Amino acid sequence: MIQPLARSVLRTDRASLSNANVQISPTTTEYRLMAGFKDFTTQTARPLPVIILADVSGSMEGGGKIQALNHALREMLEAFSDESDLRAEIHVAVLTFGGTAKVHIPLATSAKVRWNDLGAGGGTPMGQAFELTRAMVEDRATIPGRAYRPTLVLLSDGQPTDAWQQPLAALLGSERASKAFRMALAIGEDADRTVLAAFLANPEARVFEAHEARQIRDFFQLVTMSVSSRSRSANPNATPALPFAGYDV
Amino acid sequence: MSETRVTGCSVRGPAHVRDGSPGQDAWSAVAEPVAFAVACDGMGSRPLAHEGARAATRAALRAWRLWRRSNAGSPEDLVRLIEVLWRLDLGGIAPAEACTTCLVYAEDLHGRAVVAQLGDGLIVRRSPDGAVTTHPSRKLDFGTTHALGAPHTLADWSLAVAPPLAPGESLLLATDGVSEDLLRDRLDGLMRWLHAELDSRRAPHHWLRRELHRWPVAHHGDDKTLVMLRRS
Repeated sequence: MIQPLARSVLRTDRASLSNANVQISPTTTEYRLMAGFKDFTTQTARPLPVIILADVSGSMEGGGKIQALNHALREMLEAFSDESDLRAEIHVAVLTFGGTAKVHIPLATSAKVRWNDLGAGGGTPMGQAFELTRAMVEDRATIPGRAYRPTLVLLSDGQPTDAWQQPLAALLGSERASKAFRMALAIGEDADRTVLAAFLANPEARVFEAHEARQIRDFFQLVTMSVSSRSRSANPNATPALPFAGYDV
Repeated sequence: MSETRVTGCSVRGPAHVRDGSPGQDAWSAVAEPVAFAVACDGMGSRPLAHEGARAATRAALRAWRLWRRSNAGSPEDLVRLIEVLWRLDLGGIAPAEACTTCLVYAEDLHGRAVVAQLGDGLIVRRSPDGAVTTHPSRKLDFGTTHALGAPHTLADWSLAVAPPLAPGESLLLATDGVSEDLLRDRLDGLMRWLHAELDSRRAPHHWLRRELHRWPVAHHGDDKTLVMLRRS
C-alpha cells in the first residue's frame, strides 16, 4: 500500500524529467498506486443529529427543574459518548428559549460537546425556537444530506409567549425538518400540551409527562435509548421500537 | 471493433452481516452486443426488500430485451415495462413489502442509450477526455428515497437519452452505500482509478469485492454495490 507521499514523489519525478507545461494529473500507473477507496470517500461517519429544544424560561427555576434538566442533558451526552459499535455518529445541539431563543450548544459530535449548565429566566419564545430549529435542519452545511433522520426533542413547562403557530407550520412543512423524528415532554401542570402535541403532529405519538423534576431525567433516558437504538440498528432511519408504554414518564 | 467489459459486485453491509440478514442490494449487467446494467437497493425498512431488489434486476433485464428492439421506444416506455414486470416477478409478494431503488443504463440496437434512476444512488459517466457527467437524481435527504413499491409517479424517475458509450468511455452505477460516502469532486479520480485497477486484474471481481469489504468510512453499515462498464 503506497501512501499519498509516494504519489507526490512520482509526480515530482515525472515533472522534473519534462521541460515545460507538465500535466500534473496522475498517469494510469499512478492511479493504480492509490491506496483504495479512501482516496475518494469522506472519512467521517454519517451523522445522526439530535436537536434539543429546551424551555429555560423563568418558570423552569422552580422545583429543581432546571437543575434536573442540566443533570439529564449531561447524562445523555455522556451516554452518547460512551456508546460503541454504532452505525452512525451521534451529533447533538441544544437550543434554548428563555427570554430569547438561541443556540446553547451548536451541532457537534457528542464526544466533543463541552457542557455548560443552563440558567433559567425570561419568557417562553417557543416560536423563535421553532424558527431556529428549522434554519438549523434546513442548512445543508450543518446537516448534510447523507445524515440520518434527525431527532427533535421539545420540552416545556409553560405557555409560549410569542406567536408559535406560523413558525411551527413552517418547521413541519419544511422539506427536511418534516422528516425528523419528534419527541415532546410536558413538565408540570402548566405546560401547554396543545402546542406540544402540535409539534409531534402525529396522532399516534405521545406527549410524555414529567410531574416531578426527577422525571425529566427519566425522559432523557428514554431519548438516549431511542437514539442509541437507532444508531446501532441496521437501518438508523427506521422508527425505533421502544417500550414507551412501560416507561415511567 | 469496440469491446465492452463489465465488472460488478455487491457486498453485504456490516449491519446485515451482524444481524444475519440477507444483503438487500442486487445488480445485473450485459456487455454485448449492446450494453446494459442495473443496480437496485432494497429499502431496509421493508421485510422483503432483498426479494424486491433481485426481482427488479430480473425485471429490468427482461424489459430491456423487449425495449431495445424498437427504434421508437422512449425512456418512459422502458421504465413502464420495468414497473410492470417487477410486479409480475414479485408474484405473491406485496410490492410495499419489497420496495427497492433502481438504477439503469440501457443501450438499444439503434444507436441510443437511456439512463434511468428511481431513488438514491449514483450514475456517473466519464469520457476519454476526462469529462465526468453525473446523472441528476431526484434525491431526497435523510435516507428517504423514491422506490418501486412505494408511492411514486413516472415524474419521480430521472430519465435521460444519451449516446451509447464510445470507446474509452466508462460508466459507473453505485447504490447509496457507496454513493453517500463518495467525494463528488473526486469522481474523475475514482473513475480513472477503478478503470486502471479493473483493467489490470486477472480477477477484477475479486479485487472489487475485497476493496468494497475494506470500505474506509467509520461506522459504515450499508450494503454496497458498484457496477462499472468500460468500453475500449
